[in-house]
Amino acid sequence: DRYGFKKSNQYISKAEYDAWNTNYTQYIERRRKKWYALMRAYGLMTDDPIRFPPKSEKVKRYVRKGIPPEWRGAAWFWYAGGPGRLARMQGVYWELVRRCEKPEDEGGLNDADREHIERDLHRTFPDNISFKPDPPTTPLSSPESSPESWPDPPDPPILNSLRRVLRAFALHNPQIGYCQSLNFIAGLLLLFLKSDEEKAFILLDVITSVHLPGTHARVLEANVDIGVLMDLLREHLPAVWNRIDDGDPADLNPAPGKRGAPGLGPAQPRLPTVSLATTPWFMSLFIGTLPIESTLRVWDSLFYEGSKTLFRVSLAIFKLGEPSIRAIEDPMEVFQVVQTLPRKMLDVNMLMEACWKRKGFGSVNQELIDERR
Amino acid sequence: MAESTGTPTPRPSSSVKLVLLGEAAVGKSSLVMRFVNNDFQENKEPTIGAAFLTQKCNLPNRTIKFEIWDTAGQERFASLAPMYYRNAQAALVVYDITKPQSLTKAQHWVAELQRQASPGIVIALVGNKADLASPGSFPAPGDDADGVEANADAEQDESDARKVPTREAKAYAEEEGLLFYETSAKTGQYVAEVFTAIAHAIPESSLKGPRGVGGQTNLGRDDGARVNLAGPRETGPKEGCAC
Repeated sequence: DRYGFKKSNQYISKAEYDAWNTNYTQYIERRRKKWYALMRAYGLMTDDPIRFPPKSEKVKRYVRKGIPPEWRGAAWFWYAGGPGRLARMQGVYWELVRRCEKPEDEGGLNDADREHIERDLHRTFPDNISFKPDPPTTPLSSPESSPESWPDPPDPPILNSLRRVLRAFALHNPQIGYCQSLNFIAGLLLLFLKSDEEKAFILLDVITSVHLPGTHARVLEANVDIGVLMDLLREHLPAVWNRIDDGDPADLNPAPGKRGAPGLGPAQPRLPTVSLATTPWFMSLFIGTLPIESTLRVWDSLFYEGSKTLFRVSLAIFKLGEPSIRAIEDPMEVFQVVQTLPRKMLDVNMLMEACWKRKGFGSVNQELIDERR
Repeated sequence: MAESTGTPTPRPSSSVKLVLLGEAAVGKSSLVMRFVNNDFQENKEPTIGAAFLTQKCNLPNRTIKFEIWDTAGQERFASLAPMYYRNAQAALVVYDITKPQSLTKAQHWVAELQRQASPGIVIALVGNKADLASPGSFPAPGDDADGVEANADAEQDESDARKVPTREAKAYAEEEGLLFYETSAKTGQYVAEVFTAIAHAIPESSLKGPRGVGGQTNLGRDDGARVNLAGPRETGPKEGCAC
């Protein structure tokens, strides 16, 4: 596709993709024109811009309708407060990169994180053209040699960048170190930041400290987000909640504003089984859950509006899936539906509409999320 | 909940909750992908949280529907594992035959399951990536009833990436009363056999129709449940898991 990913997969056929893409390509073109006009109105350059219009209702609307693909990374960085953070953390990234080379007892990276990063590098977007190693170069030049004798192709440059960013981040935030799913997040950041490692590092820091605090920590708190989501689900989509609820809902609701016990001892409130399908929604920020274009649109708003985006998108997924969920009795089948549902949600405009409709989840604002976490 | 599907089936059908545990990147998801879709993907993406899949397995006198929980391998996800192995009737604990460390991790999982999971849970220890061993050290199908006896003492050779001798893992499995297989999700070797063996090993008494909600909670403390390496006694070529 336009980002180097495969168009079709187990969940979306090539025909479905093409049918959607024809209209969506025109849609991107229309939005692009609007963005150009907006940028010009603010006297901003449109050729590889790094500055974007100040936040306003209008700009928020524009972002919700999608940032032009070629500006995405820069706009994410801008609206997430990247430039300010970068100014405060001048040189930090490259210093970390240098320190990573040292042994652990001299302030370098520990072997476990190093090894875990290495293990996942080649497992990050293996189907994306930028992450694939170049095919062995011109086999014709050496007709005698057999395929087995060709050396392993070198890693593509973006994998080397990914390695450095993940290592530097692990060193920078020892509470997290390296957590699986960060490979996907950092990989997608690099893809859209034209492999600017320092900016990818800054945004990774924003995501893990501002948007998803604790979620990736060594003592995993991913279930805090899920607990909040289940709360919201019960309030906003009671029919869906009733179908998935297989635990004691009373357990689920610790006193507002309080985090559950860290970790997941037996004292942890019981979440309905189906909620476990949503772990990657938060940890991977919908990568691998939603089709790539839908994921990118979520990220557009995430960096502009904050983590409430994740909760509202999640609710929208359940809302759109409500008919299929309610059609099923068997709780394990419901799990499969919830697991599979978002992977087919190619029509991101419909998803976003459900997500942002004021009548729908308008009350799910950032203050509410922060309080319930 | 539906007491039974109501549709007359030739064989009684029952659900078995099965959980996969093991270190990251040993091939848990790949084993499931081979078993469920008969497919393999190089550099499979790491699993975040867990994935849920189902697959049927036909035995001569009954049909088993596996409800498979494929968990994330990284250490920090281990705190989530009890939610997945709670009420599980079977567990597949996977290690990578080229990574001794992963067998140690597998042994930890076995110990935790024996301590915390349902009594009578059927545990299979599975050494994956057997295709990376030199041909001599990986028994071909039909060499032996349970597929691991032959060549257990094969000499290491240089092209052999195997670091965990079959003998060592097998001895451990015997001691703990686990099913034991060496598999390759890549070639498909012995993948279906693992699931078939587990299906055979589940005691009849713990099978309760299509499903007890949330898994069966009334598993008897059935000592016969931990089957030994004698393994599937009657695994014929006709039956077996769809694969």
